[in-house]
This record gives sequence, structure tokens and C-alpha cells, in this order.
Amino acid sequence: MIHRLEALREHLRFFWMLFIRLPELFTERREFMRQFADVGVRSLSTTVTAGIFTGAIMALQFHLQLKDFGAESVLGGLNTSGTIREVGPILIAFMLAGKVGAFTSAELGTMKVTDQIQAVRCLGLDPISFFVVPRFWAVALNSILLLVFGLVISVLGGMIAVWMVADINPDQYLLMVERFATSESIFLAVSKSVIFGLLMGHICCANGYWTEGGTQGVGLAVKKTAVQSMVAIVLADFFISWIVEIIVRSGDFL
Amino acid sequence: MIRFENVHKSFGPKKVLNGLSLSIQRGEIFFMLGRSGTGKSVSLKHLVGLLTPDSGKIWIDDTEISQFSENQFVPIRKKCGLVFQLPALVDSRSLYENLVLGIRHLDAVQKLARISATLKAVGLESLEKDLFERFPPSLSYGEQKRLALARTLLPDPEILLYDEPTTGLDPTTSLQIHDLIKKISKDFGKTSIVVSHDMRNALKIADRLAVLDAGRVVDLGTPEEIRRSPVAMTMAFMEDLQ
Repeated sequence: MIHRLEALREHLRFFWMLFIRLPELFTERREFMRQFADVGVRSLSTTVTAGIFTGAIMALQFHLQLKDFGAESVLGGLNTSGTIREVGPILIAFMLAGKVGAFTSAELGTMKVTDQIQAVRCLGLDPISFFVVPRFWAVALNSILLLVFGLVISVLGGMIAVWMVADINPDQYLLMVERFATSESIFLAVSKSVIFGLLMGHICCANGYWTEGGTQGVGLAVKKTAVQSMVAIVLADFFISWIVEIIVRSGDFL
Repeated sequence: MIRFENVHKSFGPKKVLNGLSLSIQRGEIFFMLGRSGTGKSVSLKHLVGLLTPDSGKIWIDDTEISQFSENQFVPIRKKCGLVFQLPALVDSRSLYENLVLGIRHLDAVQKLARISATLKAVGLESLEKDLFERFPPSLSYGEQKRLALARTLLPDPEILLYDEPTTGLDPTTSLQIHDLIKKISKDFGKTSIVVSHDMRNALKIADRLAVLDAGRVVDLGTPEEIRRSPVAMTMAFMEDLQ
């Protein structure tokens, strides 16, 4: 238990350090831009695939339930709300954690075990500023943007799926979107995207940078990144939903 | 001058340095030899602050660095360049970007002039035209080692630390690297400390050698003295040359 608390404290300390080093992105802007473009390009196909199929699966499931009650007219609204509030962010975040998170962790871990990080340190540079800060912000900001983009795509995925499978007109589908996808749903989706993005960026960079013990250590770092990202995303999902629920119930929301 | 005074270092229950004491003179080519795990690389890493001793003192010139902080090591790292056992080039950066890591404060013209001279010194002038397009994985292992040496030389450190510079190289390239160490040391007046298992080449180019065993120096002397040494560990190394 004490070991876990110490690990949590180390994570918080590392996260805070990455956060307050945001101004250092200016010095390492070329590396940041390169990482940002790399992560974005690398993840776009995953995000589009995840978004389309998340929306499509949800839409088909909702359709199966709603058609028994003759309530297909609200399908677009219900599906959009359900997808962007809950299933969309979590599924897309899982996919990004598996792809971007694992890649970044493996890359930093390999740099660590092949002495690239120590070599940079010996040349008078700070390896955290040089390697980690640009990657953290590139992964975090990209994940946020990709999650939001994926959610928009998921709405289209749902619309196309029910149009093709259930012959529901896209106009009819979109008619109810505005009514169900309230500002609260959008706020919730964006909040989750921001928090999930920061969590993914932090977890993959921390595990990569802390890698010890050769290639086996790199494997372990990637495994830790995958497991910790998913656990952190699920926990964060619960707490964000809970907090937003409290805010909405208090009646102060927008 | 570099001086280790009764330095101890353990990793968990394993004692790696066990009262290491030795001194190295300015401008000297100094070899540290010994079996694996006798503390050779560990002692080098103490000089650039990658490790801190459990006890004992380390001096570089008149500065006692044993308990220096990360910030205090910044000027020490300008003075001491470490060439790692692995090339340790940043794979995701071009050759040019790797080379300028230690000279970021210079302007572009100065950087290029210094890179050109250094590449020539390490025998890699053929790479000069491809510096911006090529990345480290496109080089042979020997070229990567030379490029890593060039990167370490570029900030112009006074002291060069080589951690097993010929590991993984064929005998011919290994000989070339040793010749290069000698040339750089003599031409540029650098102090060179080389950690190695290669007694044959060490005897050819070293000014002095130390043989380490169980984290302490068991033999020390010029190549001639080492050849005639009665110390068992040294004799075992010499027998391997037969």
C-alpha cells in the first residue's frame, strides 16, 4: 500500500513538473512541432476508425431498442448524446492509449536503455526539457483534439450506419441531435477529452522515462502504460461524470 | 588532474567500488582495465555526475565534485565529455541535429565550421554532405561510434572519458578507434580516460594503465611496468595476449 502511495506521489510530482514546464516548449518548439505532427498523422486513421465504428455500433444498438417502441425519430439525438457523453470518449481514448501511448513509452524507454537520455544529459542539456516535455504536450494536445474530432466522426458514423442498415434518413437522424446533445453533453465530452489527453500524455511519458533494465524494461514500461492508461481513463471517466452530474443538479450549469 | 580518494559505491547489496583511489594527470592517456563488474564504467560515470559516491572524494582539478548537485555538474560536463559504450545517438534526429546538441549556443556558421573540422578529425568527412538528410540508423556501427565521438568532441571538453569505445567492433575498426583516441589526445592536448578490456591496444597507446579488481586498483603503471607486473590479475590479462 505504501509502495503504491509512493508511486502515486511520484506520478503527481512528475505530472506537475511537466505541467509547469510548458514555457520550455518555446525552446524545444521544433521538436514539439515534429512530435505533434507525428502523433497527429499516426493517430488519425485510428481515430477515424474508432469514431465511425463507435458511433455505428451505438446507433445500431439504440435502433434495436427504439424500434420496438416506435421511437426511431429520437435515435439520432439519443445516440449522439450517449456516444459523446460516455462510450465515445472512453473507446477512442483506449485506442489512442494503445497506439500513441504505447509508442511514446517504447520510444522514451528505448532512449533510456540505450543511453540516449544520459548522453544528452552529459552534453549539458536537460533530458526532461529536451525529450519529455515536447512529447507530453504533443501527446496530450493531440489526444484532446483527436478525441473531439473522433466524437464528431462518431456522430457521422452513427448516422451512416442507421441510414444503410435501418433506412433512416440522415435529415431525420440529425433532427433530434440538437435537442439531445445539450451544452451539458458537449461540456462533459470536452472535459473528458482534456482529462484523458493529459492522463495519456503523462502516463506514457512517465513510464517511458522511468524505464530501467534493458529491452525487458521497455516491454514492462509499455505494459504499465497500457494498463495504467486504461485504469486511469475508467476512473477519470467515473469522477468526471459524477462531478458534472453534481454541477448540473445544482442547477448552476449554463 | 583527476583524483579518486577512497571512493565506495554500492548498488543494493553489491559493492561495485570498494575504496577506489587513483589520480590521473593532465594530458595523459589513462586506461582502466579489468573484468566486467569491477567498477570501471561506474567510476567514469561518477566524473560526470551520472552517479554519486556513497563515500570518498572525487576531485577534478581543484574542485571536489563528490556531492555536487545536478546544477553544479553543468560546468563539469562542459569540461568532461563522455563517450558511451553504445553510440547513444538520438535515433529520431538527423546527424546534424545530433552533432549540434552540445553546441546549441553557437550560430549556424560557427556550428558548420566546427562540425566540418571535427568530422575530419574522426575520419567521417564523407558524411558532411548528408548531415541534414541522414539519421543515425543509416550508419554502420563503426560510423555511429565515430559520430558519437565527434558529438562529444564538438563542445571542446578538456577531458575525454571513453566507456569501452571498441565494444562490438571488429579488430581493424577497433585499432582505428584506438589510433583516433591517441591522435585526438595528442593533437588537441586532451586528457583521455579509457575504460577497456583490450589490453593489446591499451599497451600500445596508453601513457599509464590501472588494473581494477573488486572495485579497487590492484595494479598501476606505464605499459612497460604493466608488462613486467607480478600482479596475478595483470598477469592473467597478459596471458590472454599470448
